[in-house]
Amino acid sequence: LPRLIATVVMALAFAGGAGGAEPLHSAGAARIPGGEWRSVLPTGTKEPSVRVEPFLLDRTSVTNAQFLAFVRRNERWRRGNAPAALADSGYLKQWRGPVDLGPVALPDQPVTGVSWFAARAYCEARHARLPSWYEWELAAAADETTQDARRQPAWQQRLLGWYSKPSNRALANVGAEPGNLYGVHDLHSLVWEWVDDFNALMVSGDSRERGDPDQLKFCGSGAMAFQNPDEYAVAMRIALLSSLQARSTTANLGFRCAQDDEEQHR
Amino acid sequence: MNGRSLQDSRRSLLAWALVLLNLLASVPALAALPPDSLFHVNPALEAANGRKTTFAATGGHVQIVTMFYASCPMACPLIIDTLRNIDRALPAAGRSKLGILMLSIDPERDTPAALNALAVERRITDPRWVLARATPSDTRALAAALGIQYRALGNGDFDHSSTMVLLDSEGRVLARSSKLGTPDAEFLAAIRKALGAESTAATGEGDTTSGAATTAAVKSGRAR
Repeated sequence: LPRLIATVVMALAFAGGAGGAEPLHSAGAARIPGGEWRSVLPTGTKEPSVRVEPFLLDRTSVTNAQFLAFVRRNERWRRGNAPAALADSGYLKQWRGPVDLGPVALPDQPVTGVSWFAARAYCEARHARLPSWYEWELAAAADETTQDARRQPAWQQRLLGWYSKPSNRALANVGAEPGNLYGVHDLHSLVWEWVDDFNALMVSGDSRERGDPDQLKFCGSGAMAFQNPDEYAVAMRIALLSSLQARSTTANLGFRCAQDDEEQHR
Repeated sequence: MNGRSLQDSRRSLLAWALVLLNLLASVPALAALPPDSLFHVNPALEAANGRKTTFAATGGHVQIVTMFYASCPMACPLIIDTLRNIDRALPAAGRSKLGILMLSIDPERDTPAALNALAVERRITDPRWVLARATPSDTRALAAALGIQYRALGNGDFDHSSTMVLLDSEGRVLARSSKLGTPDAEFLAAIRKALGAESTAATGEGDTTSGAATTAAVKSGRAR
């Protein structure tokens, strides 16, 4: 009970302190049980899987309206203020003004044109963080009924189907697709999403051990290193993420936040 | 303790004092930073001697920044050797104005004591060399800013890119190199140019290039 009280008090404090940016545990984030996770990424050790601790994940991508509320409170992150080292020239380009969505960017569409630094700052303001790649991949492996649907043709088709859609189409509102087993929406069907360790996905081993360290940065040879080459759809996402710089923005790249699930940890 | 090493340590103390003075005088105000300065990412750092600083406070002069971890069996000893080779290839006057910042990708284990032990083991005594760590989250941000990739493998080892990044005094990227061993000629040229540009009096000291500087201190390979 003391823990519950502490949690509630902290939730209230956060909700007040962050100026309306709700921390995940009070925003109804999805609760994802952790476990042994077999990633498409090679673990680099003898173990075929890694341990993922239980975590909380936003049910939807962060929206334009939510990000607007953030930049209203954080002048430093408004378009025009964010330094080029932290966000490139495409930063929030689809908005009409620094604190004005305008007619093109709808409030419930996922925010795009955000750099990794900006996405991280948003999550930190909510006392949260970006999900790790393993967390994102684990949550995205579920379909409506099973935890790991990656071997099912329908799941693979859904991913590949999205990739083949033209990317210049207007984005749907978040949450339009049905949620998966955990109640998480749109992981494969709306935008690409940042992960916290986007710069950890395509590294080669020791430079001397595997020859040219640049070699694995290319999609082709990188894909060879994945544990299951048939999981090409996921590999594409890794290839995209690892091609980015932390200051990069694109019209189809958004994010959602995560947090350790403290209750499950203890 | 003999007279010589006492003199050395006095000299090193004096050098430290000079470096500190230099730092205090030249910490660029954050607001005045150029837009493309990496010092916009400015986490707190903890150096091998326990000194607290920040990333931006390491500026004020040209520096090479790289990331490593102390228990690294393969690439990191080579990174240190490479940095030494680069350092030796510079004219003494220029060299004295070059900072070398090595940031740990393993901050949980690379405590100031562990970093200090590495500095002792590898005889890194020059105060121009700073070994430091940040919090795990800030470490990720520093790597992201520097364009360095790393991943913990869960067995204590890391995959990481061995990139050296040359920053000007205000934290702008001038050049980068991943070539280990013999210094990368282009990278070396960029360093010389930067040191010359930062101070017009950087010539005339004579080039003290030493060719065979690799100490071949590679430890046992890691089991995969």
